[in-house]
Amino acid sequence: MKKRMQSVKMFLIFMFPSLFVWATVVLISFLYGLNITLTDWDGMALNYEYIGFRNYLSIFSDPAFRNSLRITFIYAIAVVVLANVIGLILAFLLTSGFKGQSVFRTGFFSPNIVGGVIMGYIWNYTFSFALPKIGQALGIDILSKSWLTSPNTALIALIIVSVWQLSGYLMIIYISGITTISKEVLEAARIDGASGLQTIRFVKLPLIRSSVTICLFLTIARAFTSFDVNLTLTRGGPFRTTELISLKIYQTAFESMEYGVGQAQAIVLFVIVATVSIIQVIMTKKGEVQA
Amino acid sequence: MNIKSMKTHEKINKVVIVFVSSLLLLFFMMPFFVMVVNSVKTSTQFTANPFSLPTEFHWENFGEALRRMNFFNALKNSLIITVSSAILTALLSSMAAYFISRKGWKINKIIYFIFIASMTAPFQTYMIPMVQILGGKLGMSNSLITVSYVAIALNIPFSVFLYTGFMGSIPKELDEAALIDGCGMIRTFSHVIFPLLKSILITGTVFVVLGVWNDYLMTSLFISKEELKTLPLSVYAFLNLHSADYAPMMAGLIMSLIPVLIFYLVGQKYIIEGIVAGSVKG
Repeated sequence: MKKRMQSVKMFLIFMFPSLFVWATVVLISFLYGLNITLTDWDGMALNYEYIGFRNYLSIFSDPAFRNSLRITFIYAIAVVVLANVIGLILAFLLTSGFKGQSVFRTGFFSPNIVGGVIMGYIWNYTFSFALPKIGQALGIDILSKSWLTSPNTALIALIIVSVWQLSGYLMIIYISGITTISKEVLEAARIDGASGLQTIRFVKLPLIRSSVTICLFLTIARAFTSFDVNLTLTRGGPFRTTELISLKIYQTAFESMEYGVGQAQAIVLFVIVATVSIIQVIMTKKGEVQA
Repeated sequence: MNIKSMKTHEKINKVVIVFVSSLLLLFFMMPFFVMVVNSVKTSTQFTANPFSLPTEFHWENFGEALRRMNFFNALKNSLIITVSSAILTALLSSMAAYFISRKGWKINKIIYFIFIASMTAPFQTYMIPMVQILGGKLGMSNSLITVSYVAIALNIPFSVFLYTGFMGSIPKELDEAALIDGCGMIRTFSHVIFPLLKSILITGTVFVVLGVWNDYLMTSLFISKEELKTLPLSVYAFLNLHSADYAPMMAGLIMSLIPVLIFYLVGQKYIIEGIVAGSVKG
């Protein structure tokens, strides 16, 4: 009996504080949120009614939401692919062993310490003023007006900024994967007469498959939930053509005051991210080589 | 291929690699360059040519940015939230991690599993109800404590995960020896285990610091009062005016980058380690 009391006491001291803080913010909100999606609550009224799954049905018949979903998928696919390809290229370039490569690593990683809001503004000015100047000076038509003012180029701009930030982050993970490849393996490839590119293709890439799995997982989650940059770079414009799903949820809930609908959209986002991530992990894990 | 031609071949390769890397870095640094050179020009000089180097230095841009962003007040708020949540997250999570790794109880395993599972749910999934409950029902909006509390809650799962993993590498014999010497669990944790966690605590905390410091969305949902705004919020408020005062805005962006830049240069090693440690979860 005394031992049991002691155990409970220890649980209360060590485990309970974390559990309490986390549960009061995350767990309760999540459960309460599921409940909201079944109501017609506007966030203000004292009473509300249960309307079943009507919120879920209504968001899929809402063209603005469907469009936002479409844009988010285009954005996410582009960001995931480009950020990983560029991250890999950077990692290979910066593990080739030239003097000063660590300075380069610092430089490429630096966009990651910049918060999304600040980053969005820095690029906003770059796209609105700096790049058009280059375009006009060099006579490059496509660069000579701001990319943020027309729908297609605004989405591309959003993708560029996200890739600009994420690829340095992925580079770090890929570098750590590449540096764990044993010297003997690389030496063997060299003796067999493999060129640099062949070594990358047939030795290094297969051996860092687990890094690829992780990086894809991270980028999928980041791309589907991107918000800050979206807010300060394009604000969903022009004409809501770059309104990613996170911004859409935010606007539905806090600007249109449709809490139930907004929360239902958020649950849909959750299901999408979870599904895509699970499929990705299963698919990439299959091809991993144990080194 | 003889050895000599192989050597020259490698040399050429290196030159190409350095050249390509430099070109890429130039592109990566361009936005920073634009921001820095224009922060000391006038707004008309900026719109005329964003790439020209300043001919005279308009330091008054910085003064104006400081004043209009209420910079030092925002800096103070950011520091309060970041420091308090970083310390408490480290303390609470390491205690939980210790308990999970040393007591293999079913309930601990369940809690650990739920923490990990919760990391897959994006912030948006509980953002709306969180604002409703904490901000609306409990009236806790416009308080730095609320923001710090939520930041701790959001960072606990990952931190517990990170520290539990590390805890496995600390031999249990160490605690057993301490227990035999008459230390209770609390003393064992504070005197034996906690000091051993130093490196992983720094790594985990660096992560929390960067995340909390740069957070806009969560903070903006709770803070609307001018005097409680953090740096990202006050930058947003300043730049969202859409005025043509570009030069002071660039100066404002630089000012808000300086603290995190210092942090990066000092803690770079740990940031890199943290990313690598955090990426093992895949």
